[in-house]
Amino acid sequence: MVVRKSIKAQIKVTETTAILIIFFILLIFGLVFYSHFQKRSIKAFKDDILEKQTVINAIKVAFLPELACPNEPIGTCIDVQKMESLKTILENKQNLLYYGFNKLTIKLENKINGESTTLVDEYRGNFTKKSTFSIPVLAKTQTGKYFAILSITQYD
Amino acid sequence: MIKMKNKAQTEAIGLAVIVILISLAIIFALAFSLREKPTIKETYLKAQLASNTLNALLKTDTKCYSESNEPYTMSQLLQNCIENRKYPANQINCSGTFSCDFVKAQIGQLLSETLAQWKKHYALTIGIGNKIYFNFTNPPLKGSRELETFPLSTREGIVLITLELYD
Repeated sequence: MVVRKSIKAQIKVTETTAILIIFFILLIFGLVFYSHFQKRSIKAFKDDILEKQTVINAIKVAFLPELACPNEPIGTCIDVQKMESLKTILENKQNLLYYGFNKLTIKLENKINGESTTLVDEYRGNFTKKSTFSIPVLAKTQTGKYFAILSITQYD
Repeated sequence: MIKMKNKAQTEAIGLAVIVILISLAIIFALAFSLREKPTIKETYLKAQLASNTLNALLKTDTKCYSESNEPYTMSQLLQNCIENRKYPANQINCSGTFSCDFVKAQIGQLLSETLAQWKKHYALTIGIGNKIYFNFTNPPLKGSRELETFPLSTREGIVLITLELYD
């Protein structure tokens, strides 16, 4: 009688242990899955912030009154001569911070004659991620107005 | 005994139905949450790209010069091409290339160096009504569409230059 009861108790203990083991395995699976999901969403959030910053800087540059061409709607044309002047001003770090430009490069590439002008080149060494935003604009030079690409690359 | 067996079967079926419903709900939730949302960059680009591209394309100076050494704009060459389409001899001569051929090559090159390179699907049509003079496409032309139209006045009538951008 005692032996039979002991066997029954042993079976119960084994059963409970098995259930506990399965429970913890499932818990570990859940935690691993959750941490992977969290990592991915944090990365997506960081990427989103970087993209947002790139777009904000692109809009800022395209709509800068300092770079606007006369007789052209703002945001559609960039005056290369004004860009050269602004470039000299932005060589001072204080002015660069005033415009809110940090860790980015701003380039205007003339697609007709192949010339390119760099307004800001703030890429210094290592970066974990970069986001580039390019938009066609008119580039006004001393010789005329040309089809050009305004590219902003933001580094993280 | 049979009554109890029936009851057990009904319960099992009920459980199976609940499991199926929960699985379906999880599949739907995952499908919705994993669907890629358009980024802020895509949303802004879509709105600005078509209008900026057409504006820059039509107002750009070209490497085709007049006798007084002034560069012709793309819209001037386009206008000349459409007005003198039937008489190539009257077309502006761009270093040995007639305006129509020059415009076609230049627009094709600019679009392939920008929109096509950025993997954008587009259709640029230049024409009056059903009469299409030029057509530049990068298929497939599917998905949502962003459209921008610029009118160009010529002796043949108002030419519509339409750029359609697809997702």
